[in-house]
Amino acid sequence: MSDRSAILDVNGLNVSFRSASKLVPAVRNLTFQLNRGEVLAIVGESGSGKSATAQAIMRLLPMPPAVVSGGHVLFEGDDLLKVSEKQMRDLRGNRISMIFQDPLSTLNPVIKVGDQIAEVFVRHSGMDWTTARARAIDMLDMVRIPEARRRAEEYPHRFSGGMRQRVAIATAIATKPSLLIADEPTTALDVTIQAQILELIRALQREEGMSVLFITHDMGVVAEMADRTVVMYNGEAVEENTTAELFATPQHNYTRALLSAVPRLGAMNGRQRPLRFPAIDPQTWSAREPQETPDTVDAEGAPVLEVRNLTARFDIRNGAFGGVTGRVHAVENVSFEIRPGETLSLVGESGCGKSSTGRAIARLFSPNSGAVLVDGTDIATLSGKTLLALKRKVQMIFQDPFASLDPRMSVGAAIAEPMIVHGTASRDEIRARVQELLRQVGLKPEMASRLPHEFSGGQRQRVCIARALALNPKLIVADESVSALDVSIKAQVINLMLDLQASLGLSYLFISHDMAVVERVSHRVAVMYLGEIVEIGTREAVFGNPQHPYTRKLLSAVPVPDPAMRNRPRDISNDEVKSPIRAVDYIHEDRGYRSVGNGHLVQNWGPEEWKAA
Amino acid sequence: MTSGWTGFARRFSHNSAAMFGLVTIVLIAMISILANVIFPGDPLSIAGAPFIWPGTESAFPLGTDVLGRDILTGIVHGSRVSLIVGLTATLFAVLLGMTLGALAGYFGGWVDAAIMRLVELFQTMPSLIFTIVVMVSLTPSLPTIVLAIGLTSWPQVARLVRVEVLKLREAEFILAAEVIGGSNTRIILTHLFPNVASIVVVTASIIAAHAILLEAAISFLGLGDPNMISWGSMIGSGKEALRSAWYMAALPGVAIFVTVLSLSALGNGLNDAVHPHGAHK
Amino acid sequence: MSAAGASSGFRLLGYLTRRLIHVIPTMLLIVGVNFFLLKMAPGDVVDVLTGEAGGATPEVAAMLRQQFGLDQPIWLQFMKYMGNLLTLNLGYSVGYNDFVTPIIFERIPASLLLMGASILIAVIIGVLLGVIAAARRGTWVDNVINIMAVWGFAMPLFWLALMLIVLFSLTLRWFPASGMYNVYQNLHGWAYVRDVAAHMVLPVFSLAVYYLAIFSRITRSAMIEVSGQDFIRFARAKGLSPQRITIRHVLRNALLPIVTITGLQLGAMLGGSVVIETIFAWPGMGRLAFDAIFRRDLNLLLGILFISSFLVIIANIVTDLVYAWLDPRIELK
Repeated sequence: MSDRSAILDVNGLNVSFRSASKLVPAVRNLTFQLNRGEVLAIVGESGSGKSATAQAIMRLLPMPPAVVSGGHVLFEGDDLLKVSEKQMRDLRGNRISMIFQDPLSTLNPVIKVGDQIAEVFVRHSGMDWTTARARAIDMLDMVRIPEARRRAEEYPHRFSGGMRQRVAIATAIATKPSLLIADEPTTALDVTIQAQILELIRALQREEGMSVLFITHDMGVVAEMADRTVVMYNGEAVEENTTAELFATPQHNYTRALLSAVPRLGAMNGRQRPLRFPAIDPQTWSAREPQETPDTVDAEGAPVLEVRNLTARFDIRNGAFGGVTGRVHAVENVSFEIRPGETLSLVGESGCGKSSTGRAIARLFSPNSGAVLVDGTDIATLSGKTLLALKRKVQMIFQDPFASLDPRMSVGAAIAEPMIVHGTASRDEIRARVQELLRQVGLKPEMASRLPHEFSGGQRQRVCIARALALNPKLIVADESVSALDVSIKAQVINLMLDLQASLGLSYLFISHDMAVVERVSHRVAVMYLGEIVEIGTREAVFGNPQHPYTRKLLSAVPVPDPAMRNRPRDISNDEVKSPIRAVDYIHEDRGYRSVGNGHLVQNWGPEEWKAA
Repeated sequence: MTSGWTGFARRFSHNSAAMFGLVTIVLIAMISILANVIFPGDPLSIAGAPFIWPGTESAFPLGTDVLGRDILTGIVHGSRVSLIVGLTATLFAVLLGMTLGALAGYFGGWVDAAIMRLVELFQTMPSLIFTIVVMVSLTPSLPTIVLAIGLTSWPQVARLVRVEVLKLREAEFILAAEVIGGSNTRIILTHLFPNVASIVVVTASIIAAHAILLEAAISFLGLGDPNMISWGSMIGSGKEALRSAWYMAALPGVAIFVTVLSLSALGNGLNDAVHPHGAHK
Repeated sequence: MSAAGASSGFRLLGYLTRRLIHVIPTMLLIVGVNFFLLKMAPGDVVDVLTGEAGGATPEVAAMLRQQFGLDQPIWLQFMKYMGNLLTLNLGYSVGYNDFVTPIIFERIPASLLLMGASILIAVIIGVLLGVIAAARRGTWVDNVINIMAVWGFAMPLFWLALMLIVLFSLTLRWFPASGMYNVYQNLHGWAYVRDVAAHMVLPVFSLAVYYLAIFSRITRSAMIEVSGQDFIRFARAKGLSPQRITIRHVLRNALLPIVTITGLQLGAMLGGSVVIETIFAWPGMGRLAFDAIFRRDLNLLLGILFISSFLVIIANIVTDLVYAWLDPRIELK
């Protein structure tokens, strides 16, 4: 076990930001302790102040806008709020280290990777550059980067996101710090890569006896990583406990609300249909039992969408004359169908082609080959007025609620635009419909004249849904539409989508990387990898009885918000997520599928491609 | 309610340098419009004895030049040329540049390649030398100056607009408009142009400043419109008397300096008002 | 390591070749522009090609007619014109009694000296001021540098030059205001160099001011922008000294946009040199242009346009190479 003494003692920390002439508080009177050798998680949604806390401890906040005051932050005998800047510089990267959220921008693009690690040794351990560089190679080995000697001479742009985060970790633990602060280190990574990095941090923490302050918004990650947990809301700590007790018997209402909004992989066992999230009372945060969804699927009806052998490839042009140097095989021979009132999810990691499939269906580009039948008519090759008429049946909502709306158009105008483009109604009818749509998505009709920046992320996403509904479509393609939302907002928007499905008979093509959410909302699921569907079937079949090794790998990588499940046996390889970019002369081979019964299809795989799962 | 506009107006009005720039430009514009009213008479005609120093005779507050023309009248009337050239050349450059830049960014492919070739062409030829050559090939007059300066200025606008459009092209609200079924024209006019407008307005003031400086240089070299007095040509003639009467060259230069300074301040103010600490979300 | 060195040398050569090929269409377009302006000019084309109305002897006129194919259909004329231009046959100048090409080439070194010195000063001092302004952002130092930069932009080049002459040459008598060297004394060796240097001070400074302002502004905003990026925060989290962060991390990245800007400024500087050389009677290409204006020698001017465009192209290629050297993300393909 760990030495019980506190290595970090935060007491009464206050952080505010000066904006115009106001002082906006971000962290209020925060008190907690981190014990030696322990992993403490600070969990909260956006605006909770968790990131500001981490940066305030390291004194990395830019001081003109930020004002840090109150209490003390004791670390190994020093009050970090009071030491001189020079003393702080001696501590940073030496006794306390930090890694950040976006690995793609964490490393200096013009300095070799090995040198960026060696810098720390030269600065803090008094080594000369030659020795430091040799030690840097050792560090790359330690974080399991293959061919460390060669890789140390390369620049960051040659490393994937996961690899760069490993380099960041190597830099951070180089001088064996007592404390590592990890600020959302895996949020920007694919699920399987996230599992690798979390396992790496756990292993290094054990080996080095390091204490870790882990900032995250993901309750699954908390359950996987933390010994103890602090829950933050609106700048304050609302609950602090050992992780096991926090999950088992949450004391504060907010914690309970948060936990109820987190989908748990495996919790849908035994249920036939998608399940709404519990409705949360915004005042008291008390959660009611989730309502069952009615049976919305019209099993006998003709499919709303039929995709047959869809293929989409994008040329990569380079060189002085724009010659083709490679090709992205984004979508390869994809087939599926969606019935009225049904939700089919496409899951997979970066580069698997799920987004491209969605965009091909919404005709944002023309696929190379294959058919996309909407209500029986193939839109893949259509253009002009006929295509326009069919576009009314398929609409789309996107990932980023901030970028999905024209910042200069009022939301009412944005919702009205589809009706204006298609000329379906008169001005008065349009105005009335806009108000009706706003009501339908849970917003007030008076909001129609406001601009997008006046709304929150969740509200904007509701506006996008209203816009998508304007033409009474039969199918909505939701491309990672809830991925950028906070946990509790995510739950609300998903509930909205399920309600609309029940009341309007909508079908959804739900594109996501979040397996737990997918399990909750889908009738059927298709798992994609390198542009192909590797497994497709009902949700119960794919989640309950996964056949393909990739599906199993994906499922085992998902962090489970249950501390008891922490040490379950898992298969975490150190493979990179493969890229669908191929040479120009690559010929794709179809592999064929076999049936496991009842519409559950699995792609055949070769023995050398996947380790025994 | 467009809180975007009131926020912009507030930020702009609090920027004292920008306000100074705006006020000064308006003042100069008014003076040039009313030039014939407040200073009637031909500035090119001889008004009195040459080489009178400023402040020595009340009839000629700013003195006279080598031929005896009143310098103050010259400066007031000269503002017309500068402002007309500044305005029209900028308009030309902005319209041409915005259109070509948007087309290049939106359509990509060979359209982009062709337009970028043109941009490269006009950016490779040094602007002053190109303008000189144009002025010598055609006869020097106000329209040719405007044409030549416009031709050298539009690439800067086109490049900027193209980059912005490339960024916006992949923005999700543009994709949403496409999914809805909007035509290319509709998307460009309703969604792209308004979002590019702010950056174009800021660039316009830089282009105008540059145009005024270029016109002054052309006139200084003797290639300006011979029928109109210009600040540059005044400095050109003043160059001959530098040793004894350097005020002839100095004073018109101050006028140019103040005008260009105001335009720069205006442009900076617009830029800061539109982007307070980066794009507003 | 020598094998790697040789292969990267080959890559460089390949890149250069490809770049030069890429440049050809632009050069052709410039030729086209020249041809168009030639045709637009009033008067007989031979007059234009010799720079003086009726000044060509019958022999010279006949030679020009044949060389430029003036009796033939227009597309053939264009081909011949293009051929001539690309072999640097730019016509004949009666005023100078010589072919245009050698006239221009004789003047280029003086212009390069002037512009080279100017850009060196503009870059070195401008970047320095920009770094200081960014480091002392918001303080009076920043404000002063900012104001100086804004004033530097707004001043007409030729006016600044004249004012500097009035102050430093006519009043204080510190520096000469005309020519590149003292024609009355026949100086050699170090005395000559010092003399040229003294003559260079005012013109170089006048030319440099505008670009100094640009570089200080660009450097300042690049430094500020890079400072806000994530990897700088990470560098601070490593506990590195502020000096190391500013130079090795921030400046090293800020150099990239600075280098890009440098390339774009060289074209403008050529224009500026016309004015500066005219005022200071500096014997360069710019002064030649002014004389050509005076005489309405269109052909000489077209030649100057062509050659200066070519210089800009070369400068752009050099800038690209420097950029590729600085940015490891650019792979010389």
